[in-house]
Amino acid sequence: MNTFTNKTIVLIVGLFIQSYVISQETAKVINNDSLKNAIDLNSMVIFGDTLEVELKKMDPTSDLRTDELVQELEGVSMIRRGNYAAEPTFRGMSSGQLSVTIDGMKIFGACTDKMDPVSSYVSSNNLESVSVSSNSNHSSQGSNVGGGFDFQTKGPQFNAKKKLTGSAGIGYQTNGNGRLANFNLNYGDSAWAVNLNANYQKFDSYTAGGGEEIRYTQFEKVNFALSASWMISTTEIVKAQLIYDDAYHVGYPALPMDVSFAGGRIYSLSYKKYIKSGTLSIKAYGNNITHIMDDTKREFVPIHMDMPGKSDTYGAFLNAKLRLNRKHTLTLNPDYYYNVSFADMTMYPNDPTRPEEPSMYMITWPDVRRHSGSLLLSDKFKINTSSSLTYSGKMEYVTSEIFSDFGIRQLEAIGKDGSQPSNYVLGNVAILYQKEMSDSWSLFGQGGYAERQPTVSEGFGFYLFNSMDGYDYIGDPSLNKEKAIKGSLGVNWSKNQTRVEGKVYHYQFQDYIIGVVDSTFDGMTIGSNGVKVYENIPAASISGFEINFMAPLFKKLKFQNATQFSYGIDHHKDPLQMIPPLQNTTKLGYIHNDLEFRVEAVLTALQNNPRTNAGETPTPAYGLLNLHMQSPFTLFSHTWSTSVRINNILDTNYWDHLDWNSIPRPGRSFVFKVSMTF
Amino acid sequence: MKIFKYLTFLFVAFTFISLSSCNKEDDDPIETTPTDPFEGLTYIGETSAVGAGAIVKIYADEELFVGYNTIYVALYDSANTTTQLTEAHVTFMPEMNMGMMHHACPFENPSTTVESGTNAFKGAVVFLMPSTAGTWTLGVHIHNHANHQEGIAILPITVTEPSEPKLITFESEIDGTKLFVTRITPLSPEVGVNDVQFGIYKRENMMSFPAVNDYRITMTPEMPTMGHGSPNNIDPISTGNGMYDGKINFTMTGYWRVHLDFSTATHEIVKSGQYFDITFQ
Repeated sequence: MNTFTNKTIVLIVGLFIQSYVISQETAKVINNDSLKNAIDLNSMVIFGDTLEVELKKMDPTSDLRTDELVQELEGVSMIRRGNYAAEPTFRGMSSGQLSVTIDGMKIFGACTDKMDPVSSYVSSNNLESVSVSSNSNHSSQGSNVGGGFDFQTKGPQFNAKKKLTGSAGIGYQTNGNGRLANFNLNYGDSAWAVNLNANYQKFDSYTAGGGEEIRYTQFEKVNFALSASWMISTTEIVKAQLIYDDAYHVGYPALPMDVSFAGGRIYSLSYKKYIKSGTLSIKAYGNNITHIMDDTKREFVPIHMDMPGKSDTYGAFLNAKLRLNRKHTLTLNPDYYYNVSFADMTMYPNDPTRPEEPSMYMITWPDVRRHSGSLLLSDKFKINTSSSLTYSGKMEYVTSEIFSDFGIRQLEAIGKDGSQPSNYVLGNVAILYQKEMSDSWSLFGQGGYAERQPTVSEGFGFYLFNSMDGYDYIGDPSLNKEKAIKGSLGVNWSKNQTRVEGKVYHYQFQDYIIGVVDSTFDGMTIGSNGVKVYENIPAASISGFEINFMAPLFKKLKFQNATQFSYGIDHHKDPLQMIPPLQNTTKLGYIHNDLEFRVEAVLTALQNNPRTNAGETPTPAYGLLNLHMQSPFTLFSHTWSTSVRINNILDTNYWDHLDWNSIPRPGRSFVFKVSMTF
Repeated sequence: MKIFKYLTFLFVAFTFISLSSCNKEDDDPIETTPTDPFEGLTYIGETSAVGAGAIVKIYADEELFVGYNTIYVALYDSANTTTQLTEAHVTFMPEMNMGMMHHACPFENPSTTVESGTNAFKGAVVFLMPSTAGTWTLGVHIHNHANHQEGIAILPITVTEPSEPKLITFESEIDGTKLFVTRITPLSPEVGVNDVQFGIYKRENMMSFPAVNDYRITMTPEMPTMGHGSPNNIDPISTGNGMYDGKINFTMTGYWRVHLDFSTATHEIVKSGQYFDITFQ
């Protein structure tokens, strides 16, 4: 055996240990070879509090966008403001309640209106896995009460049979004149590996069901990811990574403004060592996010505005996973990050009778600098062959300070003191018990207490317009941390390939942070309904369930049905906002030889529990039918793949409860894709 | 081994001493050049107060304008012009000659003690109209306590209308009295909380414009372009001498209009719908 294979084996074993440790407290969806699409009826779920979707086997030239992919995850619903970069929510929780990371790196969007969720800075064909965890103590997460998403990007591959491999694909989507292209090139030998990934998308405005054009839904996006790994020894790897993401002319029909440019520069250097009893990894990273809003393309603009935002984050963490003995596996995760958020707003008056009138200027994120240091300790205790207990604790200290005197004076003008740093000590504990009752029955119980600090907007935002409810939002530097006691129970029954899984959950919040109307303030934005100030309300709760059923109907026909439901109320028993209604998804897949055929039906119930004082109205139920076909072929001694998708076959005119301002979603659309691997 | 230790100690000590001695080089005495005490003020003019044996030099915060002007009166011995007189009683006699008629304006006489630094007598004059409407003179009556003589200095001055008015004039809806309201501060408005001060005066006759101290002011800032205001403003209240002090909040830069309603202590409306514009960047 030569060294090449030796290293390979060690690496593979290492990776296995790694993924084993991760999946200790996780439910994991692993793709089966036969169905190449990202998340599928054929996927397998291992039980727990984290759902991890492995995309290793997924079509490298998938035509699904990152947000389309994430939305398939259990418990996940997307907030949409346009046709680009939907914001993931999990069980009715969003934004600061969740931690969203790319390869464990903390990234914070630079848009004061949350138009650039972190998931928008990673491209789907560069993803290896996505995990969503309800555990607030998942490694390298920022403070959160609801859990979090981690997007794992593809790394460069060593030991390829061929040193140079790659893939390339082009596609076209009829609705919105969408042009898609992607490219991946990997060089790998026994010590070095380099990967370049590229993705390009350009869409015009789409047409809703029934034929109405939805203006301002266009976008153009380019994403490059370059990564290089160096295997120092059989147990040590150094990896460098750079993601370069630019989006241009992104329309947001639900908002009064579009985005002329959104850019992410994400980079990291990491070191990983596989030791006998586990792994040790160290990572240092940085990212610079720029977001520029623009209203020059809009027809009716009462006053032209410039609204740029910037968010820079730098951090480092260590992650040690140690198998102490046969019963205990310990995770140690010290983590530090630093974030600077700055956004301002310049308004240009256009009164011809007052040509001398100067522009108006205010700072919406007043140069808030935030330091966070945390330590996570977790132990997986294998009680016996059939049960385990995972318990973890995290302490975090976060301090945030305004560095703009202008910003401090602004807050003073509205009666808030921003001159002193806002400090939070956050404590999180979580416990997970898993038990296999018999060959086919298993169950888990999970409980925890979690705390989070307010986001920059919640703590320091200054007249941030929310076009959903039409209010300007003001932050409060003296907010209390939000706390949650949470618990979930799950049962799983599986036999052969038939599987039923059910989960119920409840989150009881204290000092829930929400915007509350304050009539002593005037709305700043022209046409706004007034001002909401972020406040801690004494209590709120979210509860719900998820049921998943899958079974082979015949030899080649697979059936999957998933249902999810959340219910959220505040201390007055008023509904919370952005709570997804009951949703049921049925997938039917047929595989014959290499031909794949899948039908998907989505049924979403009426949401008649809107938070009316947040501008929500009941959202009608809708049903959707999608179809996907894929077939590979060989041409010029290369493997090619063609796929055809028909989204919204019935051309339904619909919108989801989480879509801002009830903007109808795309109607029927054909997506054609040709790709080749070499 | 011991020698090595000593050598190390010596080396460290030496480094320490040489480093600390380095710092002493900066200990030069700070050179103090005598600064002009009137630096930052605007020179308006000078003339002699005949009979008082004094030269009167007038300074102001800026060129004289329609509104509330702080006036600095510096007195010099006419026999020895480098000697500043600090013992005197100074009173103002501003007057506008409009050809057919003469009138004065509201003013605040300086106190009998001088300001430290300038050694000048500090008062204020509220000019009611610009020099384009007539001829302004600033009369200053001096009672020189050094020689116990009195005299009047009369200085022709130019008063301009500021680009944003700092004075509004209206008649009381109660009795028709002519009223003058001047915005004194903020001098340089900024985003945040600003001290705001107004002065209110009434016309008793053409030569007498006493301060009005018993009014109430309701103040509402607004950005007319955006149609919004600002929260937490504190209405100015009377602090004597016609002065009304409050707090005004600006949430952004740009063009603001400060709406003012005036009423009496018994809530009788004097005048509403008045305003000052304040634009800053």
